[in-house]
Parts: sequence; C-alpha cells; structure tokens
Amino acid sequence: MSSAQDYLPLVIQGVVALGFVVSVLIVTHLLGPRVHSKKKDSNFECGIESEGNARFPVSVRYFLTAILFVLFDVEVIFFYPYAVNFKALELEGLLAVILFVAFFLIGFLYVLKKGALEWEK
Amino acid sequence: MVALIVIFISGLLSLFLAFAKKPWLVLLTASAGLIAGGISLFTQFYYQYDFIHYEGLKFDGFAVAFGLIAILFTLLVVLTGYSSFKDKPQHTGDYIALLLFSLTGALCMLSFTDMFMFFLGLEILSIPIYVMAGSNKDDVRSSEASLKYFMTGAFATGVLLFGIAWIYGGTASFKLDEITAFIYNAEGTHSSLIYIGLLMILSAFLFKVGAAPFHFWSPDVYDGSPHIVTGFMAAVVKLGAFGAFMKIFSVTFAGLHDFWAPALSVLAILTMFVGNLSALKQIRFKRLLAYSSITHVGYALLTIIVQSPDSAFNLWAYIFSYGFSTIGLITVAIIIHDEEDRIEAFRGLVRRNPFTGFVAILGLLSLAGVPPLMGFFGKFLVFSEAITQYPWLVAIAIINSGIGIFYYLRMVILVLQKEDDDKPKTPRHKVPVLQMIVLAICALALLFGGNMLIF
Repeated sequence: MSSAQDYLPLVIQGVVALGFVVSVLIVTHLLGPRVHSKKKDSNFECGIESEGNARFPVSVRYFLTAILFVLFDVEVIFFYPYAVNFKALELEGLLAVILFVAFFLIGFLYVLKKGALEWEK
Repeated sequence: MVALIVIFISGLLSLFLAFAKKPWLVLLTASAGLIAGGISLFTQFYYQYDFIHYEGLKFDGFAVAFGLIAILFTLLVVLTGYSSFKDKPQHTGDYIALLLFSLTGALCMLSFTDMFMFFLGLEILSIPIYVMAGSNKDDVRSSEASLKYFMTGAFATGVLLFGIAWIYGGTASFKLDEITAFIYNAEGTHSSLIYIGLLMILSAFLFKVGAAPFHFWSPDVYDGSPHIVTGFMAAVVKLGAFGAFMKIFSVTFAGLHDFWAPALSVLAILTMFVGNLSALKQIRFKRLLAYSSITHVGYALLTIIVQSPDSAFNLWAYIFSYGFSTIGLITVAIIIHDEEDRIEAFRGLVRRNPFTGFVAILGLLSLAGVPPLMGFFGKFLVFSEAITQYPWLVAIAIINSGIGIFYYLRMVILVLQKEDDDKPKTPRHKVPVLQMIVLAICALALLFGGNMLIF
C-alpha cells in the first residue's frame, strides 16, 4: 500500500500550479500599463463595438437547435473509438453500433415529427 | 432483462403513438407494456430463465420483488394521471413515456451488479423526473422545482461519481462481489480511500432518498411539481433509491457496518425530527406530503442500519405500504384540484364525495400507522426487527410516530368536518373512472394488504 510520502509529488504539483496562477495574477498587475477609456472598460470589450443590451429574450428555438446539435455531435464522438477498433470488435461491435445508431435515428424521427426543427411556426 | 426491454419499448411506442392524437391509445400501450413487463419479470424469475443475459444486471429475488411493486406503482400513477395528461394531447405521450423510462432506470437500480450499471440506472431514473418536474410549463413554481431538482441532483451525482472513483482506488474493482470480497478479506487493513468513497456514496444516497441534512430540495420540488410527478417521486423514485441503497450498504459494504452504522443512525434520528417538526405547520398539501415522506425515510433507514436477513423484506413491506398511501392521497388531491393546493380544501370531503373521503382517511391513517391498515404492519415489521439491536433508536422512532399522528389526525378531522356555513359550498367533485379504479385498489390494499405482509 502507498505511504504518505508517495503523495509528495502531487502536493508539489498543486503548490506549483497554485503558485503560478497567483504569481501571474500579481505580476501582470505590477508590470502592465493602465489605460482607461470608455470602450476599454465596457463589459464585452473584444474589439468589436457592442450594440444594445445582452439581456433580451432569445427565441427558445435557438436553444433547441443547439441542444439537438450537441446530441448528434456526441453521437459522432462515439464513432471515433469504434472506427479505431473496427477490426478488433468484429461483428458484435458492428451490431452494437447499429443498435446505437438505430436509437439515435428513432430519436431523430421523434424530433422531426415533433416539429422541433421547423424554424417558422 | 426482458422486462426491462419490454417496458422500454412500450415507452418508445407511446412516444410515437401520441402523434396519432389519440390519448387512450397511448394509455393502452403503456398499461399493456407495464403489465407485460411485470409478467415477464415474474416468469423469468419463476423459471430461472432469461432470454437475454447481461453480466451487469442480475434479476434475483430482491430485484424481482422490488421491481414488481415499482411496476405496479407506475401503473397506478399512469392511470391516475391520465385525466390530467390528456388535457394536453400534444404531450400525453411524452409524459407517459418519460415515466416509463424512469421506471426502467429504477429497474436497473434494483438489479445492478457493478457500479457502471448503478450509475446509469440512477441517471436514467433521475433525468426523466427532472423533465417531468417542470412539465407544468405555465407554472413558475414547476419550472423552479425542475431547475432546483436538476441543479442539486447533478451535484449529488457528481459526489456519487467521485465516491465511486475513491472506492475503485481502494479496491481496484467496480464489481460489487469483488468489492465485497476485498473488504471481507482485508478486514481492518484496507486503505482509507474506501472510507472516503463510502461517505461520499452515502451522502449521495441520502440526497436521493431525501434524508436530513440533504433534504432541502424535497419540499420545494414536491410542492412545485405537478401532483402526479410528486406521487411518482414519492413512490417509485424513492423505491429505486432505497433498493440500491440496501444493495450497496447492507450487502456490499456490510463488512464496514461498524463504520457507517453510527453515522446513519444519527442521520436517521435527525431525519425523523426534521420531517415531523417541519410538517406540523404546513398549510399546503404537497409540502406536508414532502415532510411526511422525509419522516418515513427516517423510519425506512432503520432497515438499512439493522443488519438482519429480514431487512430486505421489511424495507419492501414498508415501501409497499407507503407507496399505496401516497398514491391514494395524491389521487384524492388531483380529484379535489385546488389551485393553491391548500390542506383546507380537504374540509368536508367525506360529505361531498364519501368514497374519495374514505380513501383519504385510509391513506392518512395508514401513514400515521394506525393498526388495521397496511402502514401499521410496515412500521411494525421495521420496529420489531430493530428493537433487539437498537432499542434507543426504536424508542425515538416511536416518539416520532406519536408526533406524526398529530398532523395526520388533524387532516382526518378536516376531511370529516362540515364545511363552514357562511362560505359558499364547494360542489361535488367529479371522479373519472380510472381514478376511481386507482382509489379502489389503494383502499383494498390499505385495508387488507397488511394482513398479507405478516401471514
């Protein structure tokens, strides 16, 4: 079993990580020039001039589309490990993937039938 | 395994049949699926034969006994909720399907043999309920309930996963039998990783069953969710969580009983007092039910604290009796249909709708633990098993039962009372046939089920 000494590297790593963050935060404040202007101090300063208020209601369809995108994106992520192990997994793996895709297809059909992807409604 | 697939497919079918805009078709599919699931669960246990075998799930006697009542409760909940589901025809299928999907999660949680299936089961159980808690979209409190439940639930899941990781670090295994064997063989010499993992898993479980001090979500969520979801959470979700709790703590971590039993005893006492004392002042019915359920969790925890071969049966009997009372009461509350869900709306129920009022009284008295009813036998089994090992714990539990009788009886009196003469009379409530059937089943079970528990 492990003793307390084995965890010393972990402690050192933790100290280094924390120390780096803290020292960078302090040093940037000391070294950096201070320029203030109206644009510089605005909330969403990123080079492009901000327009209007960020807090206005957004159509829920944006969220719906975004969530659906994430779902099918995750589906694709599962294909990568399968593609790498395609040969080793043989027929059983293929069947498992077909089942997996079939479930997603059913979900997709449901989404279509429900009209979640119809933009103008 | 077949039962799981049958229920899942009937859930999928009800999703798609809902597009036909015929709510009764969805109800029929779901009920048929549930009944078929129950039958296949029973037959595969009876003949000891399963078509599809998967090592992560084992449907032993424990899983089948708990699974059958989970299916029964879901069926009752679906039947009683049908009248409110069909008010929104475009969502009927979604509601019923989500309940069925949640049930498959509960079945996974009752039959897992490794930590993966346990975690998956917990998620499959919870996620549909997060959605269902917010299904009343016009109501702000429903959305609030959904968000609160989701946020706190996700946090508890995180703690649970971290705990599983610590357990893996300590025992080098995810399989329950291997963890059991490891703890048994390495008596006293195992690393402290296991203790940390155990405490994390314990707190996640206490969160899921709603025990103090992890209970803060439950009054708000119970109160905000639609009635039917509250009933489902109190009956089925609690059953799944308790089943898994018992599987992990009374079996897998039995070797560390000396470590977690004192902690759990203290928390059980805390849970009983918090639930009971908070319930005294409630004016909303579902909030009262939430605090009452917290108290009942406290009693049910006794079955896990006490190490005995009968513990599983006692827990089963307790949840069985508790579920019937809750579903009966929820059905009554749906029939009364008070906008603000006040307890006051129960006043004079027995004079307006004699049978509904009768079932309400039965449910309340059963929760209080009054003898001829099922709740008494559930409590009796739990307490009589605990009294040899933990007499002081039973003494505190009995004091709490005494406190509980106060607010249950106050409601019983309310149901029996006459309505005020100066206020306009509430008209007689209409009771749909399906809810009548559910009420009748609950009444029969509450009246005669208790004797069957201790034959």
